[in-house]
Amino acid sequence: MNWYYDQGGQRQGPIPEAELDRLLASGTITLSTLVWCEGMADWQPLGKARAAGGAGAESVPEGWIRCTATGRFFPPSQIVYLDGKPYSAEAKAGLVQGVMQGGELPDTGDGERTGPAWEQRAQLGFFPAIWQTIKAVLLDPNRTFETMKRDGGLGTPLGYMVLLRWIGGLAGLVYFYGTVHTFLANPALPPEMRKAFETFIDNGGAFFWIGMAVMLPLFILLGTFIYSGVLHLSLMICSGAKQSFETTLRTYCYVMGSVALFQVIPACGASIGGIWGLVCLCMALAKTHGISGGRAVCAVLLPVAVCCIGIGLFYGAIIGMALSAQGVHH
Amino acid sequence: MIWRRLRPGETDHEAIWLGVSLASLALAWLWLRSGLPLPACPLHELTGCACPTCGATRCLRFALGGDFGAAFAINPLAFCAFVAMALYDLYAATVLALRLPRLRGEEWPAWAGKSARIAAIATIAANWAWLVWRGV
Repeated sequence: MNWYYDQGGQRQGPIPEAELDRLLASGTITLSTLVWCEGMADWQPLGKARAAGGAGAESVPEGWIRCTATGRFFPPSQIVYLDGKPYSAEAKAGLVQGVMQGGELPDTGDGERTGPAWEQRAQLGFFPAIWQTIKAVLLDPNRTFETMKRDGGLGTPLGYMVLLRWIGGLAGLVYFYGTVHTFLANPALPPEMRKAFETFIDNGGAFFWIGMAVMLPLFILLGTFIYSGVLHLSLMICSGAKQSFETTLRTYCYVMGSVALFQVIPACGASIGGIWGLVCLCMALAKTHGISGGRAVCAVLLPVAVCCIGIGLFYGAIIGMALSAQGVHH
Repeated sequence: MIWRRLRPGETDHEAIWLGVSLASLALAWLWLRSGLPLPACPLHELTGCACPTCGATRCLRFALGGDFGAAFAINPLAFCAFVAMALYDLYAATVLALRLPRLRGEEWPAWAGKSARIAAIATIAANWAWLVWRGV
């Protein structure tokens, strides 16, 4: 099938289907470029022409994934994920040319949200989908959340969150088990806390640890809903809640689920994961809600900012008093 | 605000928040019953000054014990939040059990949204000032 396309008001073509894909992959045309082929009543944007079942449309077999560069659908075996986005092997030549010319991976620019890879786990496979999602969220949160699905149910992101946080939590529990006697021997530990833990561990023994491990998913689930709810309220207060609560929860799940694996690193893992999680969360919310980075930072930090401001005021007052006292002495 | 049926695929907030609040209440009850200590407030530990949520646990304890006056005095905003949660749970349980239409907010005009934000910040600040003044 031969295509014609519009460029600067001039009709170009005819070109074959493969050439059209190459132009799309290299960024010469986009899915909003007007195209026409035999059988079409009128010129239409390429994305619409391919999706609407017109003459140029493809019938999409179930499970096939849409290539970010060409906008066409391919079986999962012909898809590779680059920067968290699916690209087809067919687009390789165009991708290379696009990177050489523009320095960045080409995008159809239609803003379609299908990611992250965990959303395509049925096609990609369970473990590859987890790995690709973690990698994309941690290493390139901006690109990943530009294409994150804003809706589609809570089960998928919650499953990801609970699974990864459970693994991280179990690792934390194992480390705590190994150091519990050091923990209890710490003189700074409040006596009532020491007593409570000693009673639990002495009376419960293995039951206490197994119970904690089994109850972890429930704690994680509750914590996720509560924190996402607080985060969404913060976004509303900061005029940043441009999307629904579902978008906030999905964003939170993908970020915090991905950083949970840092807990596997002994001692400092949880702190590193926590800090990087907050940074990623700010970038992610800015992309998924379509707000500025500053507004996202405000919303993420608002729940803790009140305390930080309080501490700042306290130390400010102390320093102020100290300086004024010095002034009196001099 | 309007009453309407859930759209296909729409988040069922009533089911989610009823479940979350009941499960949280059950866990809090188990925690308190088992004698586990409550985590200390870092701001209070460091400065001796209450944070905006200080006294919320004591407020819940008083409220569950039926001493609503003391519960209100210890943290008025937390008490109002618990009452609001109880009312919401009642509403959620009713609409879920009877399969009734849900209450949903329409798009707010800009001035209403701004007023609500300012009111929320002012309420949190006033409540915090009360907690600091009372030395909770």
